[in-house]
Amino acid sequence: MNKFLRDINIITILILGILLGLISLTGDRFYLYISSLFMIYSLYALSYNLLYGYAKLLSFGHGMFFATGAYITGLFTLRIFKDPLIGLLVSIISTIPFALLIGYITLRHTKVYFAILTLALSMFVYAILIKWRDVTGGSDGLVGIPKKGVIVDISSPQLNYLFILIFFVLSSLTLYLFINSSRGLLIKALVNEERLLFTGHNVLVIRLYAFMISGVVAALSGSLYAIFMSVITPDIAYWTFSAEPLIMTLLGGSDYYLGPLLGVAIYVSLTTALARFAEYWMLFLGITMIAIIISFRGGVLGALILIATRLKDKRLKTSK
Amino acid sequence: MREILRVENLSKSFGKFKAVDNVSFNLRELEITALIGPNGAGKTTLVNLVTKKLKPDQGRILFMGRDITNLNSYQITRLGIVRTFQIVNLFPTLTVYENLKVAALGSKTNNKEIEMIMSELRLDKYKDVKVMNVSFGVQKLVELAMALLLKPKLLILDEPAAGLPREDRKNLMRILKEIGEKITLLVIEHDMEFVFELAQRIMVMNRGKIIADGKPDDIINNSIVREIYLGES
Repeated sequence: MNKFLRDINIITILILGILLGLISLTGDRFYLYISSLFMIYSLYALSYNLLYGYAKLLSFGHGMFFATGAYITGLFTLRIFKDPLIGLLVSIISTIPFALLIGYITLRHTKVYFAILTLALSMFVYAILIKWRDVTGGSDGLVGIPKKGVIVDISSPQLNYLFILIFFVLSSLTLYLFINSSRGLLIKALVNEERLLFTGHNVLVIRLYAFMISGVVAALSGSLYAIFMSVITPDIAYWTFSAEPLIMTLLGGSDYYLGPLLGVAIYVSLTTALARFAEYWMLFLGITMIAIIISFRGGVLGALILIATRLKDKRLKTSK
Repeated sequence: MREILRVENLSKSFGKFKAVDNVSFNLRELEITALIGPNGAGKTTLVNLVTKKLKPDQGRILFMGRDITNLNSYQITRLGIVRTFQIVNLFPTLTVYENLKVAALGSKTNNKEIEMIMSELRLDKYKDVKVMNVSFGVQKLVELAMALLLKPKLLILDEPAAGLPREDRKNLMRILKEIGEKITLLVIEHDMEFVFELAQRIMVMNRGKIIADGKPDDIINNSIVREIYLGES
């Protein structure tokens, strides 16, 4: 990706941050709610695309990291120390060894074996959340996760929104800079693992690194979700929730850093707009997905870039 | 000349087919050796065994006196055995510069050296072009540049001239002769003109075995080699 596009990505994130910031000024609860969900799911999808789009690893268990982040924040703030910011930081740090452990178990395998292993481990986490009722609250989950703590008070909707916005902008930029760093380049080089081995790199370590970063960002989004919703249930560890970032990423375009963001925007808009026709919404999503996979492998962003390039070429030809 | 690589009784079978059959040889430092033989002779399999792309059924490989038989490919590369591939093997979605950078990161080479090698191999103008969008000849040069950035002590080139137009072959010959003054080379090649101009020593493989090993003049007069290549008896 050239420098111009890199700048475009950074500029887009900053402009998006400003626009989302302006929404907080409206004070409209509906817009704040939708935009908060957009930011949380965007981080979740970006973290997923680090694995899928860059490291070429198809996971069906990404929800376990989202759930880990959410539950650690919930449990920590409810039982140990009542503060959302500290709860969020604890969940991020705790996810590092967890992601390394899961990565160590799963990353020796690739393709469908990796996908099935992540799915199985995710369902294992789901089972723990359901069965360990005394700690996790079972199927009722955790209720009353505090927004007001010893250090931070984000109990007003606007402050909660700004809290999410800050983490969204900072994390999106940091992840982007990471992908464009030397380490990120090695992750992108996983596109040809054999060649990577013969350039003196330990492929397993690079995969593990990508997996850990991806898990930590997913945990961050889960933690923000727990604080935002105040209620969490084991559904977020269920495999269908793990498939959502894949759908969002494919919708937007996995070849582009900002593709997942566009995918989330479409996904959240569709789910909201079609809520009235709830029974048909999955049908509509299914048709959209089929259309995109058959016609636009690069997702909506890929299609838009293709159209823009063709228009530019056409203009150049006519000017000649 | 000091011995750099020793291969002892190396074998590899695929089912009942013996691709490499109890092969032993050594390579001497700064010598340009060519490995030739008809298709299916076992040349690439032998290289795959030395670089651990494949696991040998039996045998031992020593590099600069160290037993590397049980090391992984990336560890062998880090020790200084670097290879290129018969079919160009790069990171297609990355740019030429990024491909070289990945190699440089593998040997902790700095960016200045990347620029230097790009300029030496005349790759500068393709710097920001994705590898999948450059010509086959440029891809071959990128592969060579990557190999050089890995600071090899032994460079194994699997059919470096295959598919290259005449002008590019001349250029490659010049580059390899220069490299051969600083790095030990093992070259697999089918183009005999290319081999006899480049190599100081030639090993001939047939049916998984090394059947002749010597200086180019000896090989050209070897009756078994002539029989295999020219059908002379």
